[in-house]
Amino acid sequence: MRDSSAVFGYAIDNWNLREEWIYHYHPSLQLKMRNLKMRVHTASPALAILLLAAVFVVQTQAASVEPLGLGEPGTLEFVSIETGRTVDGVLTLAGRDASQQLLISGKFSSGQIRNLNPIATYHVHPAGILNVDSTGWVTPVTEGQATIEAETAGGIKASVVVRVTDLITDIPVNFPNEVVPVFTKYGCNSGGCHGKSGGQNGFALALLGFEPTEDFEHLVNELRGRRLFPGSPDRSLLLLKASGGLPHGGGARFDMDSPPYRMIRRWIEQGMPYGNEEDPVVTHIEAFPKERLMPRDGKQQLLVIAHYSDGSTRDVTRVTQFDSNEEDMGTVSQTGMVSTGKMTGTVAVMMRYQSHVDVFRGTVPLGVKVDKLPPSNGYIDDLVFKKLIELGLPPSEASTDGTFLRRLTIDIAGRLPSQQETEQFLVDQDASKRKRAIDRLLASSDYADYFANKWGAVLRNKRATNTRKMHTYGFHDWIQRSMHDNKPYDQFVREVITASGDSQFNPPVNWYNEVKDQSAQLEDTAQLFLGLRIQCAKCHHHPFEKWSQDDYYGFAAFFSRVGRKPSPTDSNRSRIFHRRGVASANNPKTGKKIMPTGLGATAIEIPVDEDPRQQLADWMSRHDNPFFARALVNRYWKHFFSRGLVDPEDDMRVTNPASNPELLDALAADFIESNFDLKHLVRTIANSKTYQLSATPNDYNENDRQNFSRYYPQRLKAEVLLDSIDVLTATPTQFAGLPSGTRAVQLPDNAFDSYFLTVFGRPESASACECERTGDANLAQHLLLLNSKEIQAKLGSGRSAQLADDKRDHAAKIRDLYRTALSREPEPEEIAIASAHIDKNLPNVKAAYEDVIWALVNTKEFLFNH
Amino acid sequence: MHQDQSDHRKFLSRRRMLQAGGIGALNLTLPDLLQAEESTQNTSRAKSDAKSCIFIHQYGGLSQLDSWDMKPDAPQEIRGPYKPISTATPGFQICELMPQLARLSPLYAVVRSMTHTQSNHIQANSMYLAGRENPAADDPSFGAMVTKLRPSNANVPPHVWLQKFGGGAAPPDHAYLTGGRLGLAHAPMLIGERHDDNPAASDFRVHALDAQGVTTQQLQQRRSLLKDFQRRSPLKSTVEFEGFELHQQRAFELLQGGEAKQAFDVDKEDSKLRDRYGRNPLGQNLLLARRLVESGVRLVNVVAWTGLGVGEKFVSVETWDMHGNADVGIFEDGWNGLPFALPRTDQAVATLLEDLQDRGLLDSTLVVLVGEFGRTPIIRKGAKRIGRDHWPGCYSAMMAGAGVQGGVVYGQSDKHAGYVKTNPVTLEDFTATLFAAMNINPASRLSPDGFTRPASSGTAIPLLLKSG
Repeated sequence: MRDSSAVFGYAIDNWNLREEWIYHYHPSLQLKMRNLKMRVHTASPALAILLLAAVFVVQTQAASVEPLGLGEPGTLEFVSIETGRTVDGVLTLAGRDASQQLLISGKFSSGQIRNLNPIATYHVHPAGILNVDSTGWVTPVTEGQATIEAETAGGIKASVVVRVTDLITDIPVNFPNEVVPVFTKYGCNSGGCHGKSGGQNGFALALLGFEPTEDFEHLVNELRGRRLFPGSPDRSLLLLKASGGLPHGGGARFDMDSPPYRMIRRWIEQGMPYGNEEDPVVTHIEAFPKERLMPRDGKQQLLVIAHYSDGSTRDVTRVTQFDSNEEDMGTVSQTGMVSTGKMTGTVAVMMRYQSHVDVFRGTVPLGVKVDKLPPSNGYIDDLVFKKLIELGLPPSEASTDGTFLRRLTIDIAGRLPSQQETEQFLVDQDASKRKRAIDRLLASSDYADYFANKWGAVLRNKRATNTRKMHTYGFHDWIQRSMHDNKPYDQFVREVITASGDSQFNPPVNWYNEVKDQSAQLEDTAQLFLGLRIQCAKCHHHPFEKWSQDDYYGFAAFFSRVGRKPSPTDSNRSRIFHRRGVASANNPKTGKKIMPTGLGATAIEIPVDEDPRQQLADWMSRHDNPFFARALVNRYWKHFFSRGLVDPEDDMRVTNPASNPELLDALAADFIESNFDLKHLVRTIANSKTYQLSATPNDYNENDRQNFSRYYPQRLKAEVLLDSIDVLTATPTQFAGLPSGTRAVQLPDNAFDSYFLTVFGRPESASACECERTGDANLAQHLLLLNSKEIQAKLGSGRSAQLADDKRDHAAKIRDLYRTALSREPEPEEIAIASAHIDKNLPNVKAAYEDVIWALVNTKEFLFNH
Repeated sequence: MHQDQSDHRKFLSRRRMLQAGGIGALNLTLPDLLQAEESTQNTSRAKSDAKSCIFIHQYGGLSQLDSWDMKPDAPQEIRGPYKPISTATPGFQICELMPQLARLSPLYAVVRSMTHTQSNHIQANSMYLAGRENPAADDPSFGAMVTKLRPSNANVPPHVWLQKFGGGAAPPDHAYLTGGRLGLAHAPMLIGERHDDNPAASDFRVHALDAQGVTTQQLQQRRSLLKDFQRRSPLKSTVEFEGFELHQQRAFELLQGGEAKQAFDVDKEDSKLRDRYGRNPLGQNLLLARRLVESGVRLVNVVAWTGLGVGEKFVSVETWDMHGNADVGIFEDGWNGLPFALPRTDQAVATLLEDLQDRGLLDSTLVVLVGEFGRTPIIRKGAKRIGRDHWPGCYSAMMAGAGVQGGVVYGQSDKHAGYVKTNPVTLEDFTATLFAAMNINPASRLSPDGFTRPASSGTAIPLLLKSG
């Protein structure tokens, strides 16, 4: 399953579950050094040209059997050298350890841009000023100026002027800027090694280099300085262990005399300076290129530039850590060379330098001509189809009417269409019937019921055994009404996060009764409403994101004035009020007091009489807030497509990029433009031709799990499935204490015991994570459906008895069952199979109908939304 | 440099000897030790051969002083009536009621320094099931975690529980029967709800696999009807349906005989072997457990209920809770007494180890024998007879097979086995060691979001694990 799902996927799981990350929580675990593959590209120029030519030939030949991929490039027209930091045609290398990766790109007659590093050769005039190796990596030799000329296929050339400076006057090494990133790149400070809490074999480094002062202390001062030996830098324990000169649990990390070795040696030589406060710091890193269409078995050199606070730049390609999110799709070498394989799709390469990250996305197209697209119904289709054309990935056909109605009714109203709805829809000849069905369902209270069920779980509307149900019922009712009245989403969220008073009178206060402490409040807010998981930043800098502890506590400060006292109506509940005072929170590491700050925003001072949560709501609903609208549209996209544009839907970060960023932007802009109108968003999605595509794959898109070239079936959610079985068997489930006829999706909270709902993954409402609801298949589910007293009791009464007494012919009755269960007419063959079964069991017609209903329930067509 | 290294080696092997409680035959070198440590961190990538586990619960709490941690020099009112006997491991002695296991000591390790602070059965049971001192209500049990981290592809349920806990000491169902927050997919299939519902009974059968309200023939008819419908389905078998198809297929296998159902049928075993295991609930359950493991079940939990003596009336399955509160004293030959329960356990567990070894399964099957706590050094009068009371401060555990280093005794208790003297082992470290012995990284993430909660927060103990 993994293999096929990986084809078009950004397997973000890889990054969530990276071993270094896993291990850092666990002091006992050690040594899971990632096996970074060193790839050396040393093909001679002539051979390389031959190889390049050979690749094209292979592709041409392969075209008859497999799709074209990126296609032939045509003739090379133009070559360029990028450095990311050339100023007025001159590249400056300052200092002994400065280096520069050259990026050689060729523009071909087809319009394609391809990386030519693997075939370029270099000539330097005058010689002796600098060296260029075969990968295009430039290192200084002596001060002066030289021109590098890169020659590629057909003798086409490009050149750059390089000035080498500051070799004679040695620039002091800056420990945080230069030494620490080496530990990150080579995995020394990973969670599996010295970066875990307590370190490794007595030597501790801060996780991923986020605390340089601590690292400095441990290296230079701990154990009376035995780790470094300024008198003879090469004899330093640090260098001996890292380069394999002494036994090291982690093995040799880099060679003697390699760039990191030389730099650390120079730092020790200089007497281990920490660097000055005034020394420039890195503000961000920039990848070149950021995106590229690539051929199968293609190569792309990456280039990483660090930008400093004084405006200077530096090439950090060789000290940047690279990781591919999907190694089956493409790999990346330690020097930043991306290699694609045979698969179609996008590989994302994450780059990390200090606390900064950037991402490169390489896309390998399938290269099939996409000529049969349905007429676009707006920007969603435009942007999805644009991506499909770019990938050369033809979409499936449009879904049939019956399938569409079933899909739509499940997704909007959380139930199967009734037999009557199905019959009317199937005979309706009006061209706008799909649009009208969407509007009808959105206006129904079923829509509000279903989305109240969805929001109730993530807003943790959970009833404890000893609390009174009026609170959770009240909150559920409030959510249901908000959905029904289509309350603008920003207002809905504001009413939750600023809730004050007693939940008996102001139901959203209930959220504060379940989300009790300050960190839970800010973490839920970030995850649920902003799609950001900032939990990590509570204790250390977020490993894959820019969030620091200051960001965390600045955000926490918004909740610092939440007061709480027991409710007079229920001692297990609290009343929430604004505690007058200055809103702030302390960063426990620095002891610094931090004022309320939106994520990525500037701190604000809030008068003592004002509830800071109002300011938070203001910040969130600002039209330029980069997270709020995106998080919601992505969450809703996932509801309808079973996979988020960013997935998981609440883990949006630079290093977990959207599969279609333009579409995410467009959806967010439209949502803001509509004044956060949720029904408008649903309507826009449901009316798109993309949503209405069939689940049946064509010859090419079976493995697409990322680009929405077909509908991805998903199992009915627990509540919807139970309701559907109730309808099909005509045996409604009675929930204790609720009016009969209450459906499972209408349950106000999750305190209704039901083995069925539990086994099919009803969420516990214990966290803000939508992942609590599981769609996983398991054995218990199938034992329940195939062979249980519960299902047998449903089969034995209700529908089977009705049908046994029904005097119509079997075909008519079977037709009814198909319309109810599958929202379609049965094929003649299906009627024949069922009739034959009934005949075989005569005279026991009722038992035969039990069997037919049982079989329908257990088909994937019934159990899945498709 | 070389000097430095050999010093390390000396130092460590000296420390090692101390840790091992003076038991010899442990000539591991530093590289060995490092490898042992490393093996605890290996994930499936390094060693792909997945291990199974039979976890035997001495429910109620075994007396450490009368089993693994004898104190022959203690006063009479503490040491009890039994004598220590030598095992096959020099310097290692155990209770004379366990002669079979004494013979097999090279196969297992014993921890004499288990410790926690909870003397209430219910909580203590919840704690060690979850492998942590303060388990949340939705924390999954060790077994549920194992099946999550090492899914089984066999056509049998990945997790089976033989003999439900019963009586006042039983942990809540959610501590072991629901899969906790991992969900019911990881809940065990429960066999044996009542005390006489086990394969030692002549009329025993696994009811969970019976057809419910329909006959077996009817189920077969239904299946072929479903097959006919599915064949006509307009839906292609895309990747989204893989889980569905797999589990539906497995469920049918289980319900309709086939190999999977056979795995639950102990009657298929040779009657001589059944005798060797012992014709009592524990003996027969361990034999069933071996059958299940053999057919691909990842984890089998067995509550060590050893049954009733001739003419005894059923009181509870709390065999090991030997206060003397029932009509049986701790040193009396009845269901709640050591001379009854311990030899049966000795025979059953020893046969299990040998049987697993004979079948080449011992290296891939972890066997654990432990209760929720130990018992007081002081012997005193219970409600009716004499007994020992709850004692979590110091108790013993046994483990064998898979990655466990046999012939090891880890940790020491004080002179009355009341407190830990060296190398205390917490529930967290114990559980981490079990994970490691199954080649599972104890720090694997298990929370729904995939990154906040480790399977175990403990540290695996290298000395209990095979090197390399």
